[in-house]
Amino acid sequence: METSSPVDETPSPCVNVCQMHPKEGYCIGCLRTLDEIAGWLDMQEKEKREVIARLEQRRKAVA
Amino acid sequence: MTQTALSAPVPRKPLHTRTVKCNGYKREDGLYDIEGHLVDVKSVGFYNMDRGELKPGDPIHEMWIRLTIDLNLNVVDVEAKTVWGPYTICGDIAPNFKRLKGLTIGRGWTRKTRELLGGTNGCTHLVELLGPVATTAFQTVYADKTTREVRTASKVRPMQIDSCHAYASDGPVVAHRHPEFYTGPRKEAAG
Repeated sequence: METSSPVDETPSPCVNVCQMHPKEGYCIGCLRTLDEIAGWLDMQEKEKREVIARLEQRRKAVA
Repeated sequence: MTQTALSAPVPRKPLHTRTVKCNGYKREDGLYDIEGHLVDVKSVGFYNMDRGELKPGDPIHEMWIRLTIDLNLNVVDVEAKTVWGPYTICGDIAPNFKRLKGLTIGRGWTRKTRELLGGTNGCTHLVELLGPVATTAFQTVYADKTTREVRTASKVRPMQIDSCHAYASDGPVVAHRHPEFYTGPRKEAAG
């Protein structure tokens, strides 16, 4: 199991908007799905980085 | 905004109303104006040597202060004005508040303002206003100051954590917004 200190952890993408887009199924602030938001604390670093990468794709798709 | 959220009071009569209002503005030049306004009125009239008869509702105190600050909470300019005070000479001390220029709102603010403007160097009500004005400054610039890029790059523990019960480091707000600094229980990750 990976362990990491707080400053090494991938930072949460939360920007305190916290509102689900009614159709897209993502938070309009951070672009995560509910599963990604709820599961963030229990994710390994690798998974978090994968989520962040997906967010970039979503950002471009909704731009 | 509710009229009152407190429980139904016992029979009572009002004696005094102090109104403090603070506003934060973003200026076109990129600086911020943080203004504080304090008014004291009484429900009972009284007599005063300089102002004579004050009727119920007449302001005993009315003070304004404006701090012009930058994004990093440095005080760039100050303007203070006493509209009403109990004594004719009250307003004479307002220019002293220019001493705040060059200070930074943050740790030590209350102590520094008392050093510069405490006692006979100032006016207690203008100094009192500096408390809510300072926190209003923080609230006003916060969204501009802490963009996600700044937060992500700095990896500094946000100062709100453990500053109040809502921001307890083992609580749900920190778990969601600042999980890197969350100290509460997590499920054991498999493998």
